[in-house]
Amino acid sequence: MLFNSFDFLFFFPIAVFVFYFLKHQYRWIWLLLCSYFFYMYLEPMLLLLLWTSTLIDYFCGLKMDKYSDQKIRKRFLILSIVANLGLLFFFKYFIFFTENAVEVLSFFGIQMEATAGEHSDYVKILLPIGISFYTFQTMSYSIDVYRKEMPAERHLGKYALFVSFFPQLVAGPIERTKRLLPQFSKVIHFDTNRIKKGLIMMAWGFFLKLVLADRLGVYVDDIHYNVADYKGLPLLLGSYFFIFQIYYDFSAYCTIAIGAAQVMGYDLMQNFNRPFYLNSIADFWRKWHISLMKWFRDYLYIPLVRKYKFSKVSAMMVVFFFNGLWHGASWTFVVWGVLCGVLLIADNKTIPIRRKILSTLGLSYKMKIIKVLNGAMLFTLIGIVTVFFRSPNIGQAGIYLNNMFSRSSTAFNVYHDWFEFYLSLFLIVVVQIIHFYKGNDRVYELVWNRPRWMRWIIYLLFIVVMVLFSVNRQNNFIYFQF
Amino acid sequence: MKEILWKISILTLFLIGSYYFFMGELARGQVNDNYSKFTHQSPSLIIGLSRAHNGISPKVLDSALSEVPYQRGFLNFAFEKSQSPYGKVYLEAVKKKIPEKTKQGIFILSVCPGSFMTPIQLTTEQEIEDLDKKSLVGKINQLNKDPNYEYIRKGYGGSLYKALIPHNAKITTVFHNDGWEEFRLSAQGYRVSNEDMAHWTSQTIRGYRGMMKTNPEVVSTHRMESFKSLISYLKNHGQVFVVRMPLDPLVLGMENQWWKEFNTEMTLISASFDVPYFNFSDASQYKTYDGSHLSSSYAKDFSTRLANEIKRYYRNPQM
Repeated sequence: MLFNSFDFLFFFPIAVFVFYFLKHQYRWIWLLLCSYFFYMYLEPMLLLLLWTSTLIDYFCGLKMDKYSDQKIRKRFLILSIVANLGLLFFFKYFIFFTENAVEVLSFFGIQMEATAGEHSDYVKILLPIGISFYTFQTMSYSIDVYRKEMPAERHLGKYALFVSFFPQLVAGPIERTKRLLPQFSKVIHFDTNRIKKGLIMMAWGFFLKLVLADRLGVYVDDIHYNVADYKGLPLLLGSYFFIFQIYYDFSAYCTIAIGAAQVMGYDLMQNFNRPFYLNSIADFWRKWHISLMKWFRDYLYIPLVRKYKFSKVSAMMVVFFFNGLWHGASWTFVVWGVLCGVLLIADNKTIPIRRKILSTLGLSYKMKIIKVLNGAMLFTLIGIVTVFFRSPNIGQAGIYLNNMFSRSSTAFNVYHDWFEFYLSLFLIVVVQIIHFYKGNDRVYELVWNRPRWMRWIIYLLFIVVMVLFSVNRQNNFIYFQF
Repeated sequence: MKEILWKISILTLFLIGSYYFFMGELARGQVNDNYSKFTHQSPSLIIGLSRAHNGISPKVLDSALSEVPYQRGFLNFAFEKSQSPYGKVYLEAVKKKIPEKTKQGIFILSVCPGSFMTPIQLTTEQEIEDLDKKSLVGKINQLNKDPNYEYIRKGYGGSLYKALIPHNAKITTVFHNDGWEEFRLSAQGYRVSNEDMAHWTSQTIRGYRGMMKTNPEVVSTHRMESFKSLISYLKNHGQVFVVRMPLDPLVLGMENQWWKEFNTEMTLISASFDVPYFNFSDASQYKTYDGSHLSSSYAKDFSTRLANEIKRYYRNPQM
C-alpha cells in the first residue's frame, strides 16, 4: 500500500483506532495483522518471502543464544546472512549478474543459449518491494545477537512485527533491534500530545511528497526523457532538481513513517538531518539516509578496518560500492556508488591543499562566504554524480553529462509554465529554511505552543495549500523500488 | 480522546470539502485535453490514437454531414498511444460511451501501426490487458459523468490551483467540449516557428528509430482481434469507417518499412466486415506540426475531406 494513496487514508485511522481500543497484550497481534495486510495489498505472494526471512532469522537467533560455542554460533550467523543475501541476490540481482555473465562469456566467444534478452523467463522475476530494507534489518538482528549485543527475541510474534512493522517496512528507516524490538513490549498509553505531533509530522511528509517532490519530478522526468534535446543549463538544473526531488521524496516517506509510528507510540530513528547544510562530502553522508549509512558503518566498514585490516580508503570504497549496489541491480547504481566514494575520499584528501590555497589568497575556510561556496560546490558535485542514479543506463548518463557541459539551450524551463518553475524554486527555499531552523524532526514546532486560533488558521491554510498545490501524479515513492 | 477525534473529524471534513470544491471549480473550466471525453455519451464516435485526437474535429464533421442520415453529436474519443491502443479495455470503454439505443451512429476508427503494437516482452493476452488497464481508459470507471471527479482524481496530473487562474491565451492547444484537441500554430503573442516544427518532426523520427532499436514492439494478435470485435460491435449501432490519417512522408516511410503490409491488412479486414477503408496516409497536402499530428487548419480541412468521403459513401455504398 502506498502512503500517498486513498486506501491508506482509510487503512491508517482504522489501524490506530483499533490499536488504542485493544488491551496492551493484544496490540502486537493487531499491528502484525495490519503490517501483513499493508504489505500484501500490492502482491499477496510477497508475504511468503517476508515469512521466510522472519522465520530463518528468528530460528538462527534462538540457536545463537542457546549455544556458547563460538563455532556453532558462527554457523547460524552464516546461515542467516546467506539466507538473507540469497533472497536478495535471487530477487534483486540474479538478472543483473546473469546478463553480465552472458555478456562476458560472449566476449570470450562462448555463446549461452538462454540469452539475457527480453524474452527470457528470468526477466519476469518479481522484485519484492522493500526487500533491501527488511533483509538488512533482519541481518542486523542476527549480527547483534551473534555479537552478544542483545539477547535473541523469544516471542515469534513480536519478532515478526519487528521485521514487518508497517510504517517502516517498505522504505525504512532501517531500524536497529535494540531500538525497536523492546518498544513492542512497552505499555503504550493514549497521549494526545504525542498523537498530535505524529499527525503533524505525517502531514508535513505528505506536503513534501505531494507538493514538492512530485512537482520537481515533472521537471526531472521531462529532462531525462528528452535528454538529447537539452544542453547546458536545463540539464544542470535537472540534476539539482533531482537531488531535491529524491531528498524530499525519501524524507517525505521517512517523515510519514516516523509520524505514523509516533501516533501509535513508537519511536523510529531519523533518517535525514539537514543534509544540504554540508561542510564536506563526509558530512553529507552523515546526514543522508542515516540508517543505511550507520548499517554500513557498523556491519561493514568497522569490521573491514578493524578485523580485516583494510585501509580506511579501501574500506570506504567497498562500502560505497555496496551502497550503490544496494540501491539497484544496474551499472548506473554501481558507478554512482563508486563515484560517491571517490568524491568523498577526494574531498577528504584535498582539504589541506584547499586550505593552503585559501590562506595564500588571504582567505580562511572559516569565513561564511567560503563555507557557502564550498557547500554549493559540493552540492553541485553530488548533483552531477547523481545523474547516474537517475539515468536508465550508462549511455544515457553519458549523453546527459556530455550535453550538460555543452553550450546551453536558451529555454531552460521545461515546465513550459513560469509559475510552476518559480513555485518550485520558492518551495525549495521555504522548505530548506524550515529544515534549517527546525531540523527534519521538529517541524511540528511551527504549530506547537501557539494560541489555539492561530493553530486552527495554520491547519486550515495548510489543508487549502495541500489541496491546491499537490501534484496529482500518484507516483510511487522513489525508494520503493529498492 | 474525544476532543482529538472531534478535531480530526473537522479537519478531515474540511479537507474533503475543499478537495471536492476545487475539483468542481476545475471541472467548470478547462481540465485537460481528455476531460470532455469522459463527461457524456455520444451516438457517433471518433476512435483511435493521437492522430485522430488532434486531427479530426467533431464539430466540422457534424456540420459537413448535415445531409447524411445519422445520429449527430460526434465525440472525439481518441487518445495518445499509451492510452488507447486497440484492445479489450478500449473496446469495453467504447461500449460504455454509446447510448444503448443507438442504431444510426457513425464510427470513425483511425488506424496506424501503433494502434496494434505491444512491447515485445508482453507475450500473453493477460499481460497486455494488465498494461491497458493502467491506461486512462482502463483506470477510469465513470466514463459519462459531469463533473467527473474520478477523472480529475485519476487522470488529471496537475494541481487544482489551476481552477483559479484563467486559461493562458498564449497556449497553442485548445481543448474542445467534443473531445478534440486543437493545435494552433499561433496564439496570443506566440507563433510556432518552422524551426520548432522541424525540431519536433526530427524528435518524432528519432523516437521511432529509438523505439525500433531499443524497445521493439510487435503486432499483437490480441489487439488485432479486439479491433475486429470492435468493428463487429459498432456495426450493430451504425456505420463504421476505417481511416488512416495523413502524416509526414518521412514518418510514413518508417511506418511502411516497419509494417509493409499494413494497408493490405486493413483493406482485407475492412472488406471482411464490409466497411470502407479510407487511406489518407499519403495525402501530403495536410501538414503536420511534428511529423505525426495535424495542426488546426489542416485538421479542419482534413475533417471536411473525410466528411466528403463519408457523404460519397452514403450516396454510393458500392464505391
